Amino acid sequence: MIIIWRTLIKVSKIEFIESIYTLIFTCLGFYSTYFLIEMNYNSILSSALIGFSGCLLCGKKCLNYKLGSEVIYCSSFAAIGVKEILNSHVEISILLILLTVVFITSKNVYRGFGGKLGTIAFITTYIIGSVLSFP
Amino acid sequence: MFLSILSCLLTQVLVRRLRWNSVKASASVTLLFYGMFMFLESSYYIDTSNYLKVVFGASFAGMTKVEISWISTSFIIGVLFWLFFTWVFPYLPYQGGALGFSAFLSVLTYKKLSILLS
Repeated sequence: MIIIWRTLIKVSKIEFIESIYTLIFTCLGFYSTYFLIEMNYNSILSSALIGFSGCLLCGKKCLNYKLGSEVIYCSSFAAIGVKEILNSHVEISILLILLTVVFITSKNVYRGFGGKLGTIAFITTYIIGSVLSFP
Repeated sequence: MFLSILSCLLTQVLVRRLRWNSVKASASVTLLFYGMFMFLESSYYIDTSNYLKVVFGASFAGMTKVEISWISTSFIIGVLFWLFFTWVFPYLPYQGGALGFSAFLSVLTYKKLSILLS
C-alpha cells in the first residue's frame, strides 16, 4: 500500500516521512481527545489540554517535527462532536486519513490565518458526516 | 463580545510578547478561562458553557499572524468573530470544527475588508 501511495502521489522521501509523521500525530491528537471526551471531560477542556500537551511534546528534540503541535491541535478539534456520527473504528480511520490528506495539501495555503486548523477539521468532518448520512 | 475581544487580544499578547507558539497560546488562554469559569460556576451557579465556546473560538482567531497595529486588528477580529459566533455558528454542525470555521471566516472577512478599504 505504501509503495502504491508513493508511486501514485510521487512524493520525495522527506515529504513521505512528513506525511507519515502527520498521520501518526493526527491519530495521537484525535484518540487522546476522543478518550478524554469518552471519560466525560468537557470537550473544549479536552481539546485545549491535548493541544497544550502536544506543544510540550513536540518541543522536545526527539520528536522535532515542525508541524506536530498544529496537527495534534487540528485533530483534537475533529474529535469534538464526532461521537454522534462515527460509530466504528473504520469510519474513524477514514476520517483520520482524510484529515491528514487535507492537512498536507493545505499546508502552504492561508499561512498565518487564525482558524485554519478548525476549518480543516470542519471540512473533513462535514464530508465524512455527509457521506455517512447519505441514504 | 467583551470575552471574544479579550480572548483574541490575550492570545496575540502571548504570541507576540512572550514569543509563545500560537497553538500553546490558544490552548493556554482556553485553559485559563476554563479555570475561571469553573470557579464562577461552582460559586455563583452561572452557566458558562457558551462563554467557553466564545473564548475557545476567539483564541483561534487570535492565532492570526499580524504584522502591524496588532491591538486594533485583534479588536476588530474579536468583534467579527462574535458576530459570526452569534449568526453563523448555531447553524453549523460539529462544534469543534465549526468554531474554527467561524474564526477563519472572521479573519478572512477582516483581511478582505482591509484590502478593499486601503
